[in-house]
Amino acid sequence: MGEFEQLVLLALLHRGNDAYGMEIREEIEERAGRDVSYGAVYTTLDRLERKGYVAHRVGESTPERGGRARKYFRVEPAGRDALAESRELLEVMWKGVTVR
Amino acid sequence: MANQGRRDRGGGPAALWTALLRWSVPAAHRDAVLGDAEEEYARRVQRDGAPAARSWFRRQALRSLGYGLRHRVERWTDAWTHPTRGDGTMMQWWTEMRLAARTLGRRPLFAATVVLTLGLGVGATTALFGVFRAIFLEPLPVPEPDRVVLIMEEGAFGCCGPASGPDYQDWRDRQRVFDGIMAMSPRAFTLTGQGEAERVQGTWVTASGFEMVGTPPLLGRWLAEEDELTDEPQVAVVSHGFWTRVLGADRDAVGRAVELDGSSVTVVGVMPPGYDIPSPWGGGRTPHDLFVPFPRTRLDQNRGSHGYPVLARLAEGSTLDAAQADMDRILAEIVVEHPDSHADRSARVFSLHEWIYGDVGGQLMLILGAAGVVLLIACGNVAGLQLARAAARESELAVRSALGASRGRLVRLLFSESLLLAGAGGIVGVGVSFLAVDAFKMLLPPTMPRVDAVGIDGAALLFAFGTTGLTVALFGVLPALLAARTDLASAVKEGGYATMAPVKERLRDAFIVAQIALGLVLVNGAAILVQSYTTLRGQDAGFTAEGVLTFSVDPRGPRYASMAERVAYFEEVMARVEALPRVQESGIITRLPLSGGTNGTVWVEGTPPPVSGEGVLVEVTSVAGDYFGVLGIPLLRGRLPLPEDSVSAAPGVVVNQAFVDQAWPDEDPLGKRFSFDTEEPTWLTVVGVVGDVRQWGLEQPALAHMYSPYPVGWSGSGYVTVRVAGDPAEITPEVRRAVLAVDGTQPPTGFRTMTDRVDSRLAQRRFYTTLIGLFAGVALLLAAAGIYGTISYFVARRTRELGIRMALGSGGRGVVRLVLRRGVRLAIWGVALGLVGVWASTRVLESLVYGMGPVDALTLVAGCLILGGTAVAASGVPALRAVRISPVSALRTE
Repeated sequence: MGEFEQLVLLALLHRGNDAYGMEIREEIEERAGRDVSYGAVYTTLDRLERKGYVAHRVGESTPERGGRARKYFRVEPAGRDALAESRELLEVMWKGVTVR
Repeated sequence: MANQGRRDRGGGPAALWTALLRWSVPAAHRDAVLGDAEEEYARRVQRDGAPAARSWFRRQALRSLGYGLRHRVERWTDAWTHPTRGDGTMMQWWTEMRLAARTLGRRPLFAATVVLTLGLGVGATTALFGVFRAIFLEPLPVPEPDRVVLIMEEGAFGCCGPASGPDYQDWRDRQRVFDGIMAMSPRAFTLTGQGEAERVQGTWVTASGFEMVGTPPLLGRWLAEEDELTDEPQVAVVSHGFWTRVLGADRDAVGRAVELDGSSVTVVGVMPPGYDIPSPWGGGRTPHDLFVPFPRTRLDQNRGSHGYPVLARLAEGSTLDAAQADMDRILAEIVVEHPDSHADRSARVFSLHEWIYGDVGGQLMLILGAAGVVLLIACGNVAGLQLARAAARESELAVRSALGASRGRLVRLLFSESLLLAGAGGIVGVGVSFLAVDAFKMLLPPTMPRVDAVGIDGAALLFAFGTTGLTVALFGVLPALLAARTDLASAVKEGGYATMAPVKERLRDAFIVAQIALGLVLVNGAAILVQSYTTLRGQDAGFTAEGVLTFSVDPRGPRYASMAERVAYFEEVMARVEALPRVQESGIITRLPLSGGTNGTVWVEGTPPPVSGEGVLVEVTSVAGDYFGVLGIPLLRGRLPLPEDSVSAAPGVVVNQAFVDQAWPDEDPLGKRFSFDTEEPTWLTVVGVVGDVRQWGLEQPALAHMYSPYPVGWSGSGYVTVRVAGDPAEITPEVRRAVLAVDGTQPPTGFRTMTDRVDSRLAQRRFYTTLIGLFAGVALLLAAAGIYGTISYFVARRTRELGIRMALGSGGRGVVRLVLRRGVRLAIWGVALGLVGVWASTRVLESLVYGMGPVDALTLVAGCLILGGTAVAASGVPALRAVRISPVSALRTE
């Protein structure tokens, strides 16, 4: 799993596993200090969804959104497994390595 | 909506950035993204103010773009490799494509025909585009070539001739529109002292034209005014090529001396790579090796001696029209100041590019146009076939539609096939274009500028891509859109026997009419060009070219300062060449036939002296040796010139029949006298009359011509002509050695057989005639096949309807007439439109035809009969077949 995919999944989990695009973007920006684009967030969400790692529900629409509905995403069990696997893999690889 | 309201007040993100963002995100999430972005934008407006928010939004959109692109590529590759994934669009396309491929696979002959037809069309146009681009669209080798113009003089002699030195100086001093203005005059030099002696091409240029040059030299300096003070050049600026080849790319070359015509000349500058001042003569084909200062004394010579083309660089922002107006103003002043020499003169300003490549460009455009017509006919053909297929599938489409297929889906179904065919056609086309460009290069006349640069490059491939796209649009999209617009109810009801909707019928008819018309235009053009070519080819130029070798000698340097020394050199050259085995005879002439010349008006003794612009215009050449014998030019009366003729008080000369016809139509010309000078006449006596020779090209009839024995009128250089037993090209090395044996520092140049020279005069014409003839043949074939195929198919589909008519009592003849009427109407429309096209094409053709008008009635009638007849026959044959079978079986026809 790619680094940014992990970031998106983790941001979702931090937001109580129920967040829409703007919140995910903000979460990554606040925690990782990275200014990310909606294009990046949503293409990643799209990919994760196709892999079955996340799913979405259509939420409410508000006037300030031009009447467009929010899409709330949540991490599916497969996504959690993949995330955990990625972490384990990294930990295994990191064991005994110092770079700084 | 609130958002809308905000945007109206000018507070929302710009539509452009919103659109960009919309494009950059996956379609499924588009609304959510835009909603999120707008929501955040609104918050940021509150928090940071509108400008900061807007700039944030812009950054968002720009930064999303890359993801959008990548996402799209990912989805595409994913869809092609795993078509079952995704939202189904890809799957549908995939299914459609596979279906189309299978359908086409079942009709391999049809598919192959279409692919090959399109491939040939795309390939030929692409290859021609490659030729066109290399030869015509390549810029001249000067900086900002668009600003470089050529100024020529126009007078009673026509347009256009070069300027005189004093004219140039007046223009230079009075002009207000040019950044720089320069007179030039090509001049060849013999380079010695660097291995074997060689001829290098140079040109005199005036130092005043530095701004015209447009770029500083790579090394050293450009020419200066004080360089112009000597008659023979003492300094030279050399081209990058010369610097590399002769001076070994020596960084210290500035200051080095080279030996030109036996004198030492100092190199003062080296121009950047690729740079040249294109010569307006000879199609800009001879690159200059060096630029030498224009001798001041030459510029100050008399106003009546015209010999220098003038180049200028338009000032920033100035135009050709402004330059013309400025030159008109200057010429008006000069005419007042020099009424005797300039009464009828004006100046014309040309774009140099147009001047050099205008002709070639026109011809290439014509060929490209012809190739385009073939491509159009090919597209029309395929479109007709597609329409026919769509018509046959009408009920199938109706059923699909009734079962819920959207119109887009139907279009896609029909379009996939076209897309596959066009894609394959495009690939074949690119392959064909690579082959064709090589073939064209072989066929291209060597006289065409920049033949070497011809090839298929990125631009040509882009062109191929564009052409393929155009073909898809023409034969794929339109029929697909129309076919999908089926009137479902009637299509289902009539069980597939519905006649076509009017708009579709009109479109089909339009394709047929257009094919007839385009075919006619091309066939007429081709017939005219082919006949012109054969007429010209069969033209008697007045001499026998076979078995003749020609080359040029031009003794230079202090050893050949006097005429006597040069004459001695020529005699020695001829003697050595004639001593070679297989050489029969040799002669020398100042200008070979078909290569232009110098002329002047003469005063015929016994007539009043001619006033300016009148009198017999006579070509002037000098001959020596057995020139007439070598070229087989017949002696009609009197005798040939002898060297002794040149020393008598009234030198004896030989004239041609055209001269006699104009000057002494009913008299014996022998012993008659004429003079070029009317003030202090130097009388020349006619001692013989020879046959007419075409001097200015095969198209131009022979002018009056005078041959004087050398050294009368001799400039010092000449063409040696040698008659050889066997192939003259084979003997070239021996002849070359023989000439070098006379003087190793005087290299002979330009070895060519006379046949080759004649051939190259025809080569350009042969090139476009062959191509257009080829295209016309293909076009005729394609058009006829297309017309027949489409019409007969649709008539055959009416079998059932015709059967009903017969059953209801219509006579067979009436039914056939009904069907025929339609075919005849199409034929008439096509022929009428074609004739309009032919008429429109005459303007282009007029400049290219020789010995005939731009319309060939016989070919036109034949073309009309073939194409129109095909349309009629295509209606008649299936109609006859339909009425011959019994109405009952006709009704059963599917």
